[in-house]
Amino acid sequence: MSDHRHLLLDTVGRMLSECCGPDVVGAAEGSWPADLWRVVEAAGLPLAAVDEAAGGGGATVADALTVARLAASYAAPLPLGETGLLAGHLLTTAGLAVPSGPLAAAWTGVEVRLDGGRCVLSGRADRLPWGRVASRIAVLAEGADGLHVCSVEPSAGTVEVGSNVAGEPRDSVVFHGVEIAAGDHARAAAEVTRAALDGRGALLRAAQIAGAITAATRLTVIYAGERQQFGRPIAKFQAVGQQLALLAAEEAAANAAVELALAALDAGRDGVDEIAAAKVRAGEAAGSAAEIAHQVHGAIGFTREHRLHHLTRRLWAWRDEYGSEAIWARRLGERALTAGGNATWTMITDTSRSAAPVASGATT
Amino acid sequence: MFFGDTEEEAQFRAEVRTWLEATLPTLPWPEPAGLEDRLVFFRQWQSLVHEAGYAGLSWPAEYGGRGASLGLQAVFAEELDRAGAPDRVNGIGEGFAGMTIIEHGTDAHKSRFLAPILRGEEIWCQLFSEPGAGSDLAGLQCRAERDGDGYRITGQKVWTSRGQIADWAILLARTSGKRHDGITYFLFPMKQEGVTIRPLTQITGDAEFNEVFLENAFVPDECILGRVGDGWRLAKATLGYERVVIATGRMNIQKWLGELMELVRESGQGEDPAVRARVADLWGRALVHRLNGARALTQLGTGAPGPESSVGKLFMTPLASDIADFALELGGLDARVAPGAEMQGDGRWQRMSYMARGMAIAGGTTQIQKNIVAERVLGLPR
Ligand SMILES: Cc1cc2nc3c(=O)[nH]c(=O)nc-3n(C[C@H](O)[C@H](O)[C@H](O)COP(=O)(O)OP(=O)(O)OC[C@H]3O[C@@H](n4cnc5c(N)ncnc54)[C@H](O)[C@@H]3O)c2cc1C
Repeated sequence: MSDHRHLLLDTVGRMLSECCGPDVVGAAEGSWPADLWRVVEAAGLPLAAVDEAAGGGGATVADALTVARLAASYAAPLPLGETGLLAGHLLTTAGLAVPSGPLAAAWTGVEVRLDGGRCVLSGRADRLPWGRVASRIAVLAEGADGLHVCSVEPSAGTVEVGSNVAGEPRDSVVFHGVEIAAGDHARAAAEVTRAALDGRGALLRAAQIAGAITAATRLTVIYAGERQQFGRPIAKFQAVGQQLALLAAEEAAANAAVELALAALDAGRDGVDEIAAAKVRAGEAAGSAAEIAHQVHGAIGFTREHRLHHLTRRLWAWRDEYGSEAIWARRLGERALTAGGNATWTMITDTSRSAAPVASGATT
Repeated sequence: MFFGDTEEEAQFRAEVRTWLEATLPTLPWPEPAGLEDRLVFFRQWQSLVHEAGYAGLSWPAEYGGRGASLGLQAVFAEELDRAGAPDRVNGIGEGFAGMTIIEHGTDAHKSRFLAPILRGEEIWCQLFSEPGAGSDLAGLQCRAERDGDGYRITGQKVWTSRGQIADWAILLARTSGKRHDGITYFLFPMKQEGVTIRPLTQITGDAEFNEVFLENAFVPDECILGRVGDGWRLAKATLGYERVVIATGRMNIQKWLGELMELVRESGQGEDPAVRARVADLWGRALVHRLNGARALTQLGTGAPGPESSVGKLFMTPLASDIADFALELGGLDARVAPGAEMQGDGRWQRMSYMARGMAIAGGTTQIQKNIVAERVLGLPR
């Protein structure tokens, strides 16, 4: 990991342990944590990976993903990755201005009609993270002559509020022929495709899953060392110790799969296969890790009074978002089959494609 | 073993089905989500069940039950599941407090407590677990001190399901310091000064279980079940009944599986071999679960539940979570509903997934059940 990334994670970790405790996370379920957002925005986190020229921090995509992973270990109830890595990316690559505040991105379900000088947006953008509070939604919309990017306020459409199982806002916005001002739309850059955004979204969630598992593992190990039954800490029972070992294995697997994809990005590749593998493996780990963490916590983990659910409900939600394991496994399988027998081995072992294991940056 | 209905069972099934078809629509559906409102709904339902003579089906006829054979009990449970009958709010009363009173209570206990349970008039809860005594239940600290012709109870209980609507509790408290022999089993009146209840919000968002603080709460001598100091033996009997209730399908496995099959068809994924393999696996396990249930009931027919009921619970728990999680996977983003929507429509899979996690903990955790099987079924050294 680069020194720069270390430094960044250090700062973020300190900031979040101060400002993003369980009380803040709990209170954010159903209301927008404006104070917390102000703190992270002042530190430049949401737009870390956006070009400096566009008002961002100029960090790499992989840097920003490790920040998102670390934030997830605090269950930070904010659209950190969505703002810079998805919406910010769409806007800057199209040469549009990146406003301040939380941003949302949509790349399916919306079309654009250009006639004369007018640009009109119609369709439904589904389940936008924090759509209701976004200062702008960056929409990748299909037009007669290709893809366009539009920057639009949520209030220009009809907002249907919703949330995922963790209580994070997932709002749908319906546009009924909304006219977009001249400076707020442009043709999408060539490298911006729906598939590429699917991949970004998936890797963002995989990284967040890895961060949340890391934190859940820590909580669970600490709890097992403290909770006494039958006159000893429950960690002394081998049945418990073995579950903790499996939990640590899931944590390692999820983080390794994410690291591999980050390394591909750092190496300047699109990392399509690594991203698919990361989402599949992190998704699997999410299920097993949540199960073990709950089992070891006993009844206290089944309450909202204990903070474990901040992490595990997010694990369950994120597992399905931006493509479930089934979806990504099918894509990966198709690619491997198309590449053919000989290529598969290279796909798995080629060292220029993989990375040395890097210590996980996500700790609490 | 013969798994079809006998002539008697087939006749009973038809009778129950007709009765349910006529009766269920008379209830003021939908079943309310909140516990207090559900209680009202439950009472209406239970009085219909009672009038029709189906309350306490498994209880001996002399205690107002029907003394029905095991086969008929299974048929009744299956038909309730099939028809989507209301939640059995008083499961603790009917399923474990009542059964323990029938087995260990005096005639006075039986005539005082059993009928109101069957009529749905008195709701029961279980005051066993404490903050420091979960798996290690015998480590409980709640004190019972002699006072005139009864005891004063002081201590804290926790995870008390439905304590906020309960009239009575089965309570374990310490009458002396001896680990097992110091525990006494009380039938404890909840509605009194000295009982403070604080609902705890569960991960599901409902507050079904509670912390219960007891401060000099009074329980008269005639409410001791069994002898003073014999509570641990009776508690084990209750826990056995609890596991039977869990193992014989409080979670309506057959019904869930049917709904899962519907979901597969609707989702258009029924051609996918991976999906077919998983459904077939779950179907096979559900069948085994049903047979396990029948076995646990057979055991009950010959006396108190044996440690075999632990096997039923061990088998049931992952089955329930696998069915729920598979349904959630098939349903995709629509299936994982927002907090608060778990009681409605498709939210039920989310709810079941949560409940399965709770099931792996309540009534003795999975690890504790395995210890019981190792020690008491297999006779391995402790
Ligand atoms: C939904 C729900 C409803 C409940 N309702 C009630 C109720 O109505 N009344 C009531 O009295 N109680 C109730 N309980 C409490 C339940 O009985 C306890 O949660 C259970 O006995 C476990 O205790 P604990 O939660 O303290 O976990 P702990 O005992 O602290 O266990 C924590 C972990 O350690 C493991 N462990 C502990 N000891 C051992 C060992 N010797 N070997 C291997 N592993 C071990 C456990 O398996 C578990 O994974 C309820 C619980 C739940 C979840």
